[in-house]
Amino acid sequence: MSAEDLAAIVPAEMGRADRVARRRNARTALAFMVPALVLVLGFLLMPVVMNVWFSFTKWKRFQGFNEWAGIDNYEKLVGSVNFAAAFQNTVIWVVASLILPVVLGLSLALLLRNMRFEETAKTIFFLPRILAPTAVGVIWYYVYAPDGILNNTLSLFGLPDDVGWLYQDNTITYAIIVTFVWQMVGLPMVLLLLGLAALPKDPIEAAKMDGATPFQVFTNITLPLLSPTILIVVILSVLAGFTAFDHIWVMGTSFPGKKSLSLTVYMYYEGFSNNAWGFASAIAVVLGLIVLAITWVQAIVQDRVDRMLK
Amino acid sequence: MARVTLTNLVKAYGAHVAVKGINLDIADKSFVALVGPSGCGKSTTLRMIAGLETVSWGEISIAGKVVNEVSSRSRGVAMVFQSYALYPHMSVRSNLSFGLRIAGVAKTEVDRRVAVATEILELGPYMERRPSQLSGGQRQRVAMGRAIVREPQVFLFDEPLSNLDAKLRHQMRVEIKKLHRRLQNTVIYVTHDQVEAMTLADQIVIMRDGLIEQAGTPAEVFQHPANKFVAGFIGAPQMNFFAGTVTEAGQIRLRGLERALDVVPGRFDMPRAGAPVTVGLRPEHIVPQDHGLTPKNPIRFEAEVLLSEALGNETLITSSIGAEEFVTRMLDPRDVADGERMSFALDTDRIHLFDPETERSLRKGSDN
Repeated sequence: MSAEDLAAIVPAEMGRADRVARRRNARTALAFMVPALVLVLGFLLMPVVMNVWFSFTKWKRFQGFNEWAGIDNYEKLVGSVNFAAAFQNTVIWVVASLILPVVLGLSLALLLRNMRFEETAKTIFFLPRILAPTAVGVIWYYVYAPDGILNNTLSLFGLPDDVGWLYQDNTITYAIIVTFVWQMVGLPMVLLLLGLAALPKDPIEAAKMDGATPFQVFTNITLPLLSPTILIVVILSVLAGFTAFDHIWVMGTSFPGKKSLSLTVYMYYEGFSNNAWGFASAIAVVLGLIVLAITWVQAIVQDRVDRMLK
Repeated sequence: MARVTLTNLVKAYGAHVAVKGINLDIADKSFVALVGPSGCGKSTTLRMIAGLETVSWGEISIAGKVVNEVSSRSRGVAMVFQSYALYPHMSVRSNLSFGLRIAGVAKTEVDRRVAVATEILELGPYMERRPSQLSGGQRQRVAMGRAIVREPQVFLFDEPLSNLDAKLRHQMRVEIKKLHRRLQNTVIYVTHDQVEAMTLADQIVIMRDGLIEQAGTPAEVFQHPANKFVAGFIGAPQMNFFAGTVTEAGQIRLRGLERALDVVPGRFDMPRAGAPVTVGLRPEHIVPQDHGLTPKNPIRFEAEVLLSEALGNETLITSSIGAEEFVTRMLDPRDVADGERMSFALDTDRIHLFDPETERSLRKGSDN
């Protein structure tokens, strides 16, 4: 059938039915989306916009917030010693949660994989995860106490046993990170175990046939194929580390410089102890921007990984 | 010299025994096909030779050396997988060179061998592509290339063509055959497709339930199947089987045929008169009248056509003798109506006889 024949049979307004159907589809889709849209707009986007606005005001709790502050809050931030320290600690948190959970999680996953008591061991390592972070914080507060288990154990080995783990500038952040990772590592481990189990067996066997040693198989085949899972684990860990609060809050209460332990803690102190809600909002904006930057980097990496395995 | 010898080879997974003590001697430079239905142990056997499965009992030796405890990479074997098993994150070039690079082979040598494989398999235009950007046939060629560059003593193929469509499968079959001629390695080829086995191999090993049913050249296993299973497995459409009885005169009577079948004197160990036998006849040995060569010693009979399947160059006719259906091929076909009565000539010189009890061939001097 030639094109003219076809044109003769099909009326000119052929596309009309299609258009009507498409419009009807769009309307149905919108109807289904309305509840979600209302929630997102009302509880997510609006607070964000309001937060940005507050950060330019001198809002103090129980006082009007319509007093305009311009960029005063941000200027104050730049000059603040606490902010600089909190920022630095937050960077330490991000770097640590970029590396530790995935490395430890992967090591555990590889160790436990096909082990005799895999299920039991998995449960044991996952267990801390189901505890309340605050409770974990309290427990570890006593572990780190001057005469707590840790120092006592160190003294058994003749090591210095008078470290004030949660009272010293140079130890507190790392001490809390250890607790945090101890509690959180179960999830990366489980995710990576799932990822390992889902890997295609054939390329790994092919690499063995190709003469690769177990280590070469791991670095050349297993790791690249596992990278989507690794990426997810890294994203989850970094965001969790970045927004960590409970552990720091509980374990850092006796620390003199507690305000500066992380940006989240700093924000909390300024907002709820100091009643400086406008200033706290400015900290929140900075936090938000950093998260945005991390997400952006993550999207780029994700794209790379996708392209590598496609 | 890469002769492969399997001695009393057993593979057990707990209580399940997948390979039950097989013995096989594979000559250097030969092309051996392991065939059999799913679960017959053919892939497990291949994987043991590859070193991907441990050996529960028995011995595997390659080029005179027992390799039970030798790792895959030191056995001098290369394997082509059913799924191709390419490295998805590497280009074709990297896929080909991976094995050599990690072995620390000099770059010039790597390049040379990759170039040779590329040329043999005509992969030139695809070298920088990822496996996902290739068609099934191209992926299969890369998988073969990866085996070739290693210059192995023994090639192992694990159902390499089963993911390809029929046309491509034929094409690749030809390529594998050419490859073997050119490289002259020992090849062990696992397939469930008897056509592949017949066309490619110089030695066919038919397996069932972890045991070897018969090993021989394609002609041997086709013409002198050792038992009913092999007879039914090799050849398509498969051999027809009828229940018969031995007569006083040493002939075979089939229910539904007036005349008894003459048996070539001295060919079979005939059971006593009155004993049951299973008669096997290949489709091409029940000839529709005027559509094929008339046999020398025919038994003619008429039967109703139950089903006809026109394939173009031939038509498969399903009919019956007594209550037992059989399939035959009508060469140079004409239109056939279902239900029509047709004359057939049965070639008594070509019958196979099996013991109904043991299913073994009654032919004298047959293997089992």
